[in-house]
Amino acid sequence: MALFRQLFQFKGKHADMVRTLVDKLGGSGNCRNIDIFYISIVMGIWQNKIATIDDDKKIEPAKIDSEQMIRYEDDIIFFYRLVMLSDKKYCLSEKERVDKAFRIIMKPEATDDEKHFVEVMLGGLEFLNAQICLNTITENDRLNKIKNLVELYQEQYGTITAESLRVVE
Amino acid sequence: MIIKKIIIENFRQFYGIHTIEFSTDKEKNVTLIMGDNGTGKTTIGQAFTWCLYSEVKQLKKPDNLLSSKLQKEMYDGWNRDLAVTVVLIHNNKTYEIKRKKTYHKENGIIKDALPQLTISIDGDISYKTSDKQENLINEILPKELSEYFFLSGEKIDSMSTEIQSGKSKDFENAVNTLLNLDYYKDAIKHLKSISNDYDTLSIDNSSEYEKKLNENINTLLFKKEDKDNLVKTKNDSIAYNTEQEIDIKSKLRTMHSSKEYQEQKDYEEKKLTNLNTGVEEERNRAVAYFINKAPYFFAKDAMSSSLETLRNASSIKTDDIPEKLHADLIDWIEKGHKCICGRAFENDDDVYKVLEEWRKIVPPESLGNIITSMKSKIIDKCSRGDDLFSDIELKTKIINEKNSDIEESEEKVTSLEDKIRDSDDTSELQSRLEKYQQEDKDFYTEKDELVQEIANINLELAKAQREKNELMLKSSEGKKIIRCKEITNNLLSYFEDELSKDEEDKRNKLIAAVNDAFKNIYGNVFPISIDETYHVSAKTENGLSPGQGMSIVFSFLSGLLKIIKENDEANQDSLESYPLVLDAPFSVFDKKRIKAICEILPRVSEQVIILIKDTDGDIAKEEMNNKIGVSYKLLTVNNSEEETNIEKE
Repeated sequence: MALFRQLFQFKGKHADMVRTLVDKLGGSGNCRNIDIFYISIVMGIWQNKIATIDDDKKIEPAKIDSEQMIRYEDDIIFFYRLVMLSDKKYCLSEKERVDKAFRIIMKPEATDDEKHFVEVMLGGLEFLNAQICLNTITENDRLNKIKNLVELYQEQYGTITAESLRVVE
Repeated sequence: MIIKKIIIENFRQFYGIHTIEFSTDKEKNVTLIMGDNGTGKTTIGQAFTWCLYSEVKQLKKPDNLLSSKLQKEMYDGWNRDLAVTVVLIHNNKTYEIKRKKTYHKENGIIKDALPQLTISIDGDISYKTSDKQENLINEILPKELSEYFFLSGEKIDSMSTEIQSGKSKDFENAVNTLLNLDYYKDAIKHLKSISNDYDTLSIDNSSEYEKKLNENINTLLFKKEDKDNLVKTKNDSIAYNTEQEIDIKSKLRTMHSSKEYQEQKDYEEKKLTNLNTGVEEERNRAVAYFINKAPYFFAKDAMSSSLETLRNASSIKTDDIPEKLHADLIDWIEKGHKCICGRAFENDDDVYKVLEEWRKIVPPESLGNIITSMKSKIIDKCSRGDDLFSDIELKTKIINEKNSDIEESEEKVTSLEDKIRDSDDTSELQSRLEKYQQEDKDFYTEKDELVQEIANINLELAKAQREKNELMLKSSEGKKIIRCKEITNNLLSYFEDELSKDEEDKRNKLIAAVNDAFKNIYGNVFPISIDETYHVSAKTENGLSPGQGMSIVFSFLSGLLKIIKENDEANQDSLESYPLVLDAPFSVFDKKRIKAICEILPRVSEQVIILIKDTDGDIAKEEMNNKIGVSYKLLTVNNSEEETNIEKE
């Protein structure tokens, strides 16, 4: 409950990363902190990477206000559940993963899970920042890096489509 | 005329005596003389013109013709000869034309004497005075025409340039003489002058009035001549200006002003801006796709894995219960003993029982509905990421193409900037052109006025002539003069008519022959036209290339020689066929054109002598093999340009 319906703040170096990413991907004017938040979650899951919160107070936090968090609550819960259900490293038992995704979610005992969710997201954020912003000179370079990232994932998981999932179900 | 041989003695590179016998075979009528640059091909052409006309073109020191090797060998007191002998057949007689110059060395300085010319006809040396000898050569091959038959690469090039620039005056003289039109024209000129003379004649015992009338006629004739001269001057000025205008226009066509380049640059820069905007838009679209679809595209594995987890989870009921319905709500309703519809109930009522049943299947007791919803969300959201790969691939492809266009456009802009920096200033030429055009307008106005004045003078003259004729008819002497004038004028009309008919006939034949030849050489690309003054031109959209210009020169000569040959066959005495001596004729042609010219050349003249460099010579040999009667090779001695030997192959 604490995570989903209130102001969320990227702190320390992560705040800088979010601001840089929004700036670099915001050419179309459509990139917001929450977009970076979403992409970071899935990058974290893909890379199986976590990062701890950087609480450097000298750096101004990057925020997603509570109103936006409430508006996108369903999506955030969806990604939270994906993290809980798919992260076998965090929780080995299938039953426990289902419980974390559906029963414990938003309850006081979900605090550690929420912390883990944020750490996965921050791990993804660091990866995304390294891939998109580091050693990039021109806009064309950046687009090529995005293309490389997409190609890499496509090579690994290109066979998974909505249709293939539907067939299995 | 057929050239049998040339004997060259100590003439420039040709130290000692060298003889070239040319092919006189009617079938194998080509003589090929091959040599690398500097071996003396042009010198052979120069030897011909020196022997025939004592003239050497394209030489920095035309007096220094004696072999430099010989000059070094000479001691004080020595005399040595330089000579060229041309043996030719003309009107079934053999002419041996020899020009000789003796050099004497004294005090280390070599001095030359005046050249001596000797001509023998069938072995008879009877032409001793030089005037007669020179006249005889001019009868065989007029000097002014010789340059059309001893054609150097430079001459071919200059004729070609004339055609390309739209002025081809040279051709008129060639046609008039070669097609015997000069005879007509000379006769007409002569008769006109006689006719004019009759106008001024008066009878011996004429009255005062007649004398005054004659004076008036003379004055009018003088005035008319004066005005005619002025018209001629205006025409010359107009012709000069037109030539200048053609020159300037031709220069302007090849020049680009900075303004033109700037306009091209502006266009290119606008294109560049559009391309850059286009790239930016495509890039923004690609990034927008990434932002919107990446959360689902990069979650495919997690989604697949989550679905697997959900499939394996046991005891999950999948009743159709709203997702957010939770046991807490049931607790709250039971606690208040009042349904959300407002109906009150007790713990043993049916409503209570239903609520207790629901408790079993809503969270946290049962997750079926939530899981079902999650599964369906996973599939739905997965579909939202499906296209990201193809979208990004397509956009990057479009962007790369545009970037390549941008690079090309940027290069163009840079190149145009260079050109703007180095561009010619056309304003000076433009103002000169306008000056000539304005002058032309004035000249035409003045000419019109003069023509009007001449017309008035003619009226007055006719009136005075009528009066004079009436008076003259009163005496027998006068009648005689009038009769003579009538006869002269009748003759004049006859010659003018004949010239007109003959000229038109010959020009039409010439046009057809020239176009035929051009078609053979260059293919049916565009027609060549020849106007009344033998101005040769070709209508093309983009102007003529040097190769096309040269092809037209060959076509013109070929056409002209064909007409001469036809006339020759029709009237053996009237016209002579000429040999064609070509120096480096293929230098600007590609292999295909050389082949075409090789095919046509043996047919255009009874005798063709080609001086050619080795590489082109091999192609010529291959293409004209069955037409080559004899071939020679020019070889330098000890790799020095000082001495060349001629070897028959």
